[in-house]
Amino acid sequence: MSEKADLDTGQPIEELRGHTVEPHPALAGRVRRSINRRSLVADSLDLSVNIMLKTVWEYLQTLLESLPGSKNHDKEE
Amino acid sequence: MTETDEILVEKACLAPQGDLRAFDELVRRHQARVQTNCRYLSGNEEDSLDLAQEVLVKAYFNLKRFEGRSSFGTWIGRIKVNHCLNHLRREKGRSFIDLEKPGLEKEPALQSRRGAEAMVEDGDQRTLISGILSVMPATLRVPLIMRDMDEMSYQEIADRLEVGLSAVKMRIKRAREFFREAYDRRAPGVRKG
Repeated sequence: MSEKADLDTGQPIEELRGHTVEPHPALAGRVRRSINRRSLVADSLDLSVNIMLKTVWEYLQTLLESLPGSKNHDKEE
Repeated sequence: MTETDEILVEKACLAPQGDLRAFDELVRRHQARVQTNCRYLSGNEEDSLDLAQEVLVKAYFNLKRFEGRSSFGTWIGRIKVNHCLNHLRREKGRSFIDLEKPGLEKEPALQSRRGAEAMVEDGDQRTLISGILSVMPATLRVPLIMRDMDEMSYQEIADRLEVGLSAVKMRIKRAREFFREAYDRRAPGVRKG
């Protein structure tokens, strides 16, 4: 039996194809809130990582500049 | 003019963050189907709302991966099936290969909830279908939903359930027989064909 022919199953199986239950009235709102929450968390995480990387970078720069032989170190002396 | 799903996906992808209008419309169009299948795949009405929510959120964050090779409905259907099967595996703590065991339908964990029979007795067409699916064992119900609601191919069902092709065909055949018998028993004379 071909798969196409098998899809033509007649009553009552074909009732299944169009069968849906009433969606929960809160579903759309819950989806929206969940998306907003996850986006906010992702943004906050992004920001935290960026700030952390920037801090580490600044710290390394300061450290390198304070080493003897560096331009800024020589100027200060 | 009504916009197609594909246009809405494009709009949702291009929308600035926080603008969910296009995606909201997609949710409105597909939520009934998603929640229905989540309910029957999981066999649990209480879980179906959470599952449907997770499926729709997952779809949103993967929208850019939608290539339009199939319809949006089919694409979200695949996400839903994967998500529900993973949920079932987590819940039952066993794979579908284990569900292959003969006589497993009698296991208490796979039995329908109390009240399902009463739903079947109710008479209304929608309730009747819900009732029959609720009393159908998961081993038969899941492949039936994948085939006759999600219109997946036998091979795809076999791959997802990790069982042989012939086992899938056999289960679907048995599930349809189960469904027909229960339907005729509860609603004699309703069948047209």
